[in-house]
Amino acid sequence: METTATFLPKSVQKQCQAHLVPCKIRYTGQTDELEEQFIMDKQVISPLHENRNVTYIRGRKVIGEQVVFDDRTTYIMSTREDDSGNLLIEPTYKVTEIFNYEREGNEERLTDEISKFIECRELDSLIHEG
Amino acid sequence: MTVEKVIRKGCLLVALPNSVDSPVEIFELPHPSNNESKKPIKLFVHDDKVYQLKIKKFSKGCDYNCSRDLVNDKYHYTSDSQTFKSTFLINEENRKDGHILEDGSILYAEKYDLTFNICGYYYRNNKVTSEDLAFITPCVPPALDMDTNFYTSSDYQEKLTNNHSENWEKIPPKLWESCLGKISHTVEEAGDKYYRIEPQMIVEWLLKKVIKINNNFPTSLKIPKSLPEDIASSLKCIMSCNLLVSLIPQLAYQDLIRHESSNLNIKQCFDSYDKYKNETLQTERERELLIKAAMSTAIPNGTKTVKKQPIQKAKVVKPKVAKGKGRIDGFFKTNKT
Repeated sequence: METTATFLPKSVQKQCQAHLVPCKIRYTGQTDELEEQFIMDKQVISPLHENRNVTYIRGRKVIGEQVVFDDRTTYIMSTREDDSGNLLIEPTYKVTEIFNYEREGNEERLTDEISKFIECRELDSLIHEG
Repeated sequence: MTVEKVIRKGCLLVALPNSVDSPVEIFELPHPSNNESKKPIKLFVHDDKVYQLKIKKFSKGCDYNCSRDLVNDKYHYTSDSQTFKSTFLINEENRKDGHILEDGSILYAEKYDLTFNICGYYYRNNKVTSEDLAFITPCVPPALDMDTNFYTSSDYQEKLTNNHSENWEKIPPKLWESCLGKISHTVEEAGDKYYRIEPQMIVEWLLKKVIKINNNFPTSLKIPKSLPEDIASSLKCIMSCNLLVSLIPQLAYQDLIRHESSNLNIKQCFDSYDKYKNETLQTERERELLIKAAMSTAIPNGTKTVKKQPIQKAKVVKPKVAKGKGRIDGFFKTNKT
């Protein structure tokens, strides 16, 4: 029998920010490393980094820019299977903001990718709406 | 990474429409382009609208620019071809409650016009193996849907459920009817509405989309400024058509680019741009020939060698040195043994 996948939206109390960092961490799960790490640097020296997140990962400077999804609610969702093998996707956290990061020196790529993503979504709405 | 793989990851970052507050089932339909290399698309219906699930990955180039990015060394990937991206989840009110996700992608829902898939059904025998083939007219035209009967909306939906994908039954009747109506010739009889999908209606429906793209053309797609104004607008129209190529079957694209209408004459745009391109190529070739000819006049031809005029050297008369018989005069004489 074919199984299904279903989003099961529900209100969640827990909130978090999602930071898409430019490195691959081979781990998924809880951590207390972020308690004193990944603190935003408030002293912005370069005008290039104004209105952007500036922080460090293992001493390397990374720059972040917000990714905005209009008319969308963002969640961290976890998946589980029911007795019949159907996939249920449920929210565990509500994501208040998403930031995408690149290493210092790669700021152009950061802006370029986000602006192209916005343009791609606008094109999608032109093609699929109305 | 496909939508399926991301969903199966166990923990994912998802952007859903604000109004989704009740369970929504995700289902698949065959890819509307009938391109065999493309996987079925994942959809869900909410509030009488269809949404497609898509993946966004940052720090990754698009397939179109793959070779250019490789040359420029723009992107780097892990040994298992993943992007260098992971996710930190930080609760600012309690930083101890932090999480790391190995995956750095976003699963998001975007509004989707289901008519593309009905169009895909109509051209279901027109299958291609790669996107490049969409730009070529097939040598042997594939058999089209020969069914000329009119059906009610529900009968049509049942037909697709039985012959194309059983997931068509998951589409609410009202939504189905509005999508079917966009590409069908309709007749009303005794209060009932009957539909028949027609290629001409498909082209008209696609034309509206091309006009919309053409009027709101993506700014990142640059039209060369060196082009004459009319050719630039033709190229813009061509690119607007090509932005749809990944969503429609080969024959639908071929019909679209041959379409002539007062709103936007696509055929004329393709013809005038092709003509300009050929003329430019011809001029370029002629210029190259002229340059070659100009250069060859200066270079001697291999068969006719020009004889070199012998340079006559003026004879220098050396004054004779008198030979003496002093001790030193015999110094350079070779010894006879």
